[in-house]
This record gives sequence, structure tokens and C-alpha cells, in this order.
Amino acid sequence: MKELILSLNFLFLFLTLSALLFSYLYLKGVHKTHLDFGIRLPEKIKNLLMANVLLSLAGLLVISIFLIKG
Amino acid sequence: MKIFLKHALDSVNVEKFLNLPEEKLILSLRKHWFTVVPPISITVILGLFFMSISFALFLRFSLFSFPVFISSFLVLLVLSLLAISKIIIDWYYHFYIVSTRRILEITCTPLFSYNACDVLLDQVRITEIDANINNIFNGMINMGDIKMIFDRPSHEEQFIFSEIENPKEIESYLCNALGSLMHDTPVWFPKRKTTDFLNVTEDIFPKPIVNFGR
Repeated sequence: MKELILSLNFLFLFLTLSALLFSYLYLKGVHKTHLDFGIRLPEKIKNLLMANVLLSLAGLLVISIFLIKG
Repeated sequence: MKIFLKHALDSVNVEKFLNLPEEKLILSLRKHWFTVVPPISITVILGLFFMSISFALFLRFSLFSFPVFISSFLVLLVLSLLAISKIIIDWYYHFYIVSTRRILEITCTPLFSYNACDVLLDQVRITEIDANINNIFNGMINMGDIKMIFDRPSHEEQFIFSEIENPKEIESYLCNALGSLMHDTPVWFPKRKTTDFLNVTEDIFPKPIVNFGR
């Protein structure tokens, strides 16, 4: 059963890593769109994107700690 | 939600799109803010559903450890938030611009795609501007479509502003604003005189062979 938990944690780690990468690239894409169009995103939506990146980082950290401990 | 999901764009924001000579902005707008509510609701419901499954597994089976529960919760939270921000940003970068020279629809999903549909007003003649509110719910939230019908040399074409706020007011505003612009535009097909012949016979035979009694 320990293997199952370990593989689940690895799956979650992979998913969080993908989410982090996507959030970062998406943030860059939005910034590029802003430069191209000159249409500014409202601060609240920008904060939501930043929160995504930070939450993904936090998730990555927590899952890594669980993996190292386990 | 309506506070930061503004359906109208500021004129400063659309300056980059008004680059034709003597081009002035008539109208710039996004879709109704309510269009983002169904996909966000589905995302939230799906996120909560999977979180509750994870919680139920955690309560039911002792082998489903606490770290796995926390990890799954974090992953679901991150993915749901990511999907919600993508839905909002896709809505934010989908807008319509009507100027004195053209009608423009921009659909941009950052990192994925970019579509621009541009109609030059000196190349077409707008024959109809219609406002449609299709059902009771759309009537309650004042959401509907505006159809612009163009008369082109070869065929009829439609340009639809779909799911926008205040369609009736915008339709009358556009009628007033574009009416004066269209007044000077030439009509593609002049009215047929009784002495004219059918186009087909005219194309094939330089001289008429049948007059069809006219």
C-alpha cells in the first residue's frame, strides 16, 4: 500500500509542477498580450494569476516535503 | 463580480486598434459578464466534487493517508484556480470595436490563439442592424445579440455581436452612428430598369436573345 501512496504523491507532484509551469507561461503570455494590445489587465485578475503561481509553488513544496518524509 | 468584469473598454485601451486615417471610435465592448458564470460554476462544482471524493476516501479508508489528502486538495485547488483565471482572461481579451472605418472582433487567448475579424466599412454596405434577446432569462439580465447584415457584391454576410449587455440601446446607438456613415456609401446593385436584361444571358451573350416580355 505504501507504493500506492508514493505513486499518488508522485502523480500530484507532477500535476503541481505542470500547473506551476503553465501558470508561469500563462502569466508571461498575458504580459505579452498586454504589450501587444495595450489593454491592461485589472489588478484583481493579475493578483489571481500571481496567487496561482504562488499556490503552485507552495503545493510543490508541501508535496516534496511529504515525499521526502515518506 | 461586475465591478472588475467591465463590459465596456476604455477608449485609452483601444487606441492601438484605431490606426486607419481619420478613424474614430464609435463603440467598444466585451461580452456580457454573465457569460463567464456558467463555465466558472462548472469548474467550481467539479473541483468541489473531486475534493469531496478525496475527503470521503480519506475518512473511509485509513490507508488513504493525510499527506495524500492534503496533496490532492492542493492540486485540485491549483487546477481549479488556473481554469477560473483562464476563463476570465479569455473573456477579457474577447472584444468588439466599432469605429468610423471598420468593425473589428478580437478573440485572443494568451499563449494559445489569436483571431481578428475585420470588416472595412468602405467595402460593404450595412443594410440591417437587428437586436435579439432570445429568452426570459436573457431579458432579465439584459443580454442579447446584435446582428449586422452586410450587402456584398457576391453575397449577404452577417456580423454578430453575441451575448452583449444592453443590446437594444446599443442597436439604436449603432443605427444612429452608422446611419450617417452608410448614407454616402454606394449601393452595390443599382435598381434594375425595365429595359435591362437578365445577368446570366448578358454574361453569355453580348446581345439579348430573349427579353422575357419586358
